[in-house]
Amino acid sequence: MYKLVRNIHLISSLIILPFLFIYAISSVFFAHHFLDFFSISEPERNVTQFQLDPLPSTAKEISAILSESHDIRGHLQNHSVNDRGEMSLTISRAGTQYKVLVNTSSGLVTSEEETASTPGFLAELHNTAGFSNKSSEETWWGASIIIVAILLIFAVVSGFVLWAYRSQERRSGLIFLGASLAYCFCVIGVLRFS
Amino acid sequence: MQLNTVIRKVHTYTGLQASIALFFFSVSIISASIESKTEPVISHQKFQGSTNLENIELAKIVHNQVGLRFEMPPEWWMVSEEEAGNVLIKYLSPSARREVRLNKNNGDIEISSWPLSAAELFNHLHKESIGRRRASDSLWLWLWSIYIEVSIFSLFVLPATGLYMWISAKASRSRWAKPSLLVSSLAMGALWHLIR
Repeated sequence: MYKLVRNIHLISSLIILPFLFIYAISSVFFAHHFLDFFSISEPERNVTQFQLDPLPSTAKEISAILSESHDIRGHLQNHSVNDRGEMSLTISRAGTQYKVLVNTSSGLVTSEEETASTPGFLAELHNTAGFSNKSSEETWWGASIIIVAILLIFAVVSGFVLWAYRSQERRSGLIFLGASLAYCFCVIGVLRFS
Repeated sequence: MQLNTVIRKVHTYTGLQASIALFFFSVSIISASIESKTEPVISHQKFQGSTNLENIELAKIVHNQVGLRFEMPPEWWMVSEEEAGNVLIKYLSPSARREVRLNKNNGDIEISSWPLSAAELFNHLHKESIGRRRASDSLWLWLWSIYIEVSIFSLFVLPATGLYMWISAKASRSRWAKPSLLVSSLAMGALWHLIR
């Protein structure tokens, strides 16, 4: 039984390790604003122009073609048509945003790509969870993160069991855990119910 | 005491300390997938003072006037200006999700408050840190922030000590261990490459 739990702890921890590393670093960026000069440094900008022929009629179709043929990948955040008949689209994924202007009469597309710095990307990746309003890559990331969350629970529970096997550390561990639990529940209780 | 014993003890006690936070982080990830459609509770007040000030100054005056419990005075990252010219203060505390809007033209303050579900509470609690909270803002939030701060530190200590124990053959030698790490690293690398 001990060996099984130890293997569960080891394997679940190793699976989540690369993701945990990303989350640990990005949480430091989130937690401390003195690091903002890394994450909000000027993003890289890249402007490209090309022709779309034939030009699809809806923003969703244009976004799909841009993704397939021009590597402008991401979630279509919003779109609008201005007085001159130009359609503007905002397509984004974690760390990258495209502002696309489509001339609906000539089919000329102007795309301005903004790419965040690596810390900025990490911070946005930290927020990419769940399945709503995301590009397919981000949906995959969201799904992976949910698996990581479940495995993290496995790692925590199996860690508890492994600790419980160590009789010489049981008492001191209980005091440590008890103090930690008391601290948490006391503070959360006040924050939530007072 | 041998180095291996010290590392194992550090791993054990750090794990025990961080266990609740790790549980919080796990639930936060899962709860981020649950969209809440709660309607906000909205109340109004009249701004007392001149609106001819910088947005951050206005936000601080609005904060003092409204007096929301457990909310820290506005910092620059909490304040923005909407297209209509309203000053928007976004608060983040375990009490509720709150947005306070000041209409600079007519001095109307709109306070929107969304009560938090249990899932949202988890999500909000995991975002606290001493980088964002001062003891003078709210002692209880600051006390919680210390716990989260220590837990972030644990996110570095636990993998480092765990890896050391595994590599130094003090942990299980399961044949699934290396492939697990390899597959996970490849999956993360592929997702990173695709999204980046």
